[in-house]
Amino acid sequence: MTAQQTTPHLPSAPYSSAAGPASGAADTVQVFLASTALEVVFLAAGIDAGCYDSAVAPAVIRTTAQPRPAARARERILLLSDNAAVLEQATPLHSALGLSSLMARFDRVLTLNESITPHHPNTWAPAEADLPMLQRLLRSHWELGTSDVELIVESPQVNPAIALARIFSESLIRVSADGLMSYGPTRSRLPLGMQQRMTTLHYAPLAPDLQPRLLHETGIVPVPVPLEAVSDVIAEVRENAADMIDAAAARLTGERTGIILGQYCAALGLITESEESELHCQMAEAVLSAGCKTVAFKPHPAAPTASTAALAAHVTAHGGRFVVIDTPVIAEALITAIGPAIVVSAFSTSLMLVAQLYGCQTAAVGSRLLLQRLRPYENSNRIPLTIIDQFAHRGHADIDPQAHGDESMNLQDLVDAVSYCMQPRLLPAFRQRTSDLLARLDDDTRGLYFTRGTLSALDLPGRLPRRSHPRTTARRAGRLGSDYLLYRARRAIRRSRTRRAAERQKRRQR
Amino acid sequence: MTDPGAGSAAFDLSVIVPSKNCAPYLPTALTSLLDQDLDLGRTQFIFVNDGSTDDTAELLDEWATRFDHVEIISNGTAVGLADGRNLGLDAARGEHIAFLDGDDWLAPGHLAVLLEAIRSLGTDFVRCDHIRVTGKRRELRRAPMAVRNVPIPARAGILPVDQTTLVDYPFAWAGMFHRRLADTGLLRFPSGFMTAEDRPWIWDLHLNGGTCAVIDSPGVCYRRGLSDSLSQVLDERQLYFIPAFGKIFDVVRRDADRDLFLLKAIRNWLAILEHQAKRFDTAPWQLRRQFSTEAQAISDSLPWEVLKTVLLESSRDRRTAVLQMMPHRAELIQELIR
Repeated sequence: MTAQQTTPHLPSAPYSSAAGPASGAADTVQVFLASTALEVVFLAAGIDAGCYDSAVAPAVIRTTAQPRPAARARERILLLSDNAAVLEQATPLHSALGLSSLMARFDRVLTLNESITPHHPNTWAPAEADLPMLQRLLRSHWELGTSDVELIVESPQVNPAIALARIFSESLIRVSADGLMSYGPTRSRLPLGMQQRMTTLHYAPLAPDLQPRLLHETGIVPVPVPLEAVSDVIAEVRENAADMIDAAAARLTGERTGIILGQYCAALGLITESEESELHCQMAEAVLSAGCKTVAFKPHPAAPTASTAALAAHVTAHGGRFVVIDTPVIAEALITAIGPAIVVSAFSTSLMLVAQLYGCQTAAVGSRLLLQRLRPYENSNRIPLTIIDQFAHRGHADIDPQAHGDESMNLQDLVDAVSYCMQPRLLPAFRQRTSDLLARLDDDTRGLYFTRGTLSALDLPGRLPRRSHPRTTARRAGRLGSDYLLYRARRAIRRSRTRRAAERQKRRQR
Repeated sequence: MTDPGAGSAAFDLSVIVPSKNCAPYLPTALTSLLDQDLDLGRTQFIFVNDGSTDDTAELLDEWATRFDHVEIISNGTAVGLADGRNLGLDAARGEHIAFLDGDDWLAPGHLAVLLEAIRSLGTDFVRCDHIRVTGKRRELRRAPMAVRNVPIPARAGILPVDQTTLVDYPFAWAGMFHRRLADTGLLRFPSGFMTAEDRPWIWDLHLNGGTCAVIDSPGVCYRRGLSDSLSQVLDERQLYFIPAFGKIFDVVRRDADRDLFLLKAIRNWLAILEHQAKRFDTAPWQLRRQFSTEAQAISDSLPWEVLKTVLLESSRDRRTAVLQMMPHRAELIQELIR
């Protein structure tokens, strides 16, 4: 059997869940789900690079992992999903600054929120029994007809991606991953019905020679989106928002400027707000010591409004000029206009992106502190932090995409080892290499990227020495005994209940 | 009742309908069979009356006239669903074969959709979803394979180990089969089994059945909650799941990829042991002893290291419930306490 679909069109029954089996003659509609500006930029770059014009079959019928040209989709729909906590006050993405011409790559732009209100996309989980009906209704509402639907999603392990995948239960699924998390393991196990339909992972090749591991357990095929395409789209965004961006850049001309890209570590619960403030001050110092007079700070759009007074005071005290950039446009577009001498952040993907695309000097501050604070071990920020930490030589340093921190350690091995410790059940094949790497590492490096607790739980080199714990043994034996006694007790109760019910039955029949 | 004469594939499809005391439900089933968009002149219906004591026989005789080609097989004493279906298989002469239980029914056009699919895809068999009906309550149950309407290797329906897959969806009436599977004996059910006959059957089918496809179709309506249903009675007939798994382990052991599939089979074994152990709590002690002894024999026959691994990965409840039926209990308890 070939991987191509050769089924003729079968008649759709009155209440079959889908419009009918896929056929070579039936057309495809590609639905691109996006919730942030950067996601839209990355999807547009993928379309420009032709990534969505070729296809790979799902693993169960795949004969080759090479993408082959596919029939052009009848329609490309951009489905925007606003995930802000206060939906009623969020700026809708389709009117966001700079994205207007990007929308032209899509035949239609729809908003998921309009269709599912008052549900919030992140908590919208329709009941199993309602799925066939919802597919029928959404096909009608979004005028999808009986076409095959192909879903392209950013975060496949959360709603609304999961909800849409469940509703369009036969649609093949592609994943678009624009950040460093694509190099790490999947955060949670996806339902099998979704795993079986995964085809390609379109990722940003931010770290040369690193293979993405996201959704590796599903057999998804990683396909890189050329960074030149991303760079072109960013230039387009800059064109669209030229007025606002040039106004922001105008405030900064005339002297060497460094940009600090804020994240929302405190809001994530990783560090306290005072620690984050301290981190920002350290970043300011990195900017100033790079010979910059002006320190520009761009807060993360999702971060809660925090006071920048302390940072401003710190910069001024060291003889610099402090400016807050609040232009609501992606940082990369701003950076192309401003042309900073250095870009500093904690572990933002933008650091890798601008270093690769524009050759900007970059620095990562605070990765060591954050690595220690990440809880639990499988927190999906761990891989981005690990990669950035490696590139930044563990501290204040330039990020050089071509050099690694430790020559004796292959970055792929380290990333795979950390990934295995984060999700051992999903990546069992990585255990041997993880064990080998851990045996080679010195204590300091091992302590930086791995925790004793995790290594002990997984019985890997570097674990705490196994000691006899008589109290634990006694507790476990006791627990086993009490489990058994409880089981016997429950069984006795069940038996006596059945006996009494049977007697009652007999008495009634007499 | 007419014989169209000798010749291979005299019929496109043979539909096998075993019934035992289904008189209240049979008219629904038979009505639905007439509404399948099939060419009745090329379809063979085989009704197996398995020792019914109600009006089933009369109903079948009365309805037989509405079909072009009918065979009625009557058993004086019931032989069970497995052998009932096997008798039907012996009499089947169609190019494809489908099953329907006498107390269920089909949505209009269902068999025509399956027939068209299995022909055009050229697979050895096809599977489909079904609807569980309890009174007026309906619940869609999907066949656990999300890649649909294309041929897939039947073996792809077995893994992964810890999720519900096509081998956990063993319903004979949820699909259609090419007669070559009957010719090689793959479609036969283990003889004499009063319950659990479909488990070794579905494993053999997915290990050795070639290719299959999962089709969207109008569906089978599977009636639940029948008061005299076999699954609610607690007696020796409920113990057939033990030799059923014996057969599953046999067929997996003969397979080239046995290491892969053994994990799955063992996990399923522990799951069904836990479920049945709870059910058999209220059974008389002779039955419980038979259960224990037979289950232990099967567990003994399994490779110990693999069984231990799966057991130690199971939940506490499952471990407690099945410990009685495992070999090397002392070693297990030591491992659990360590």
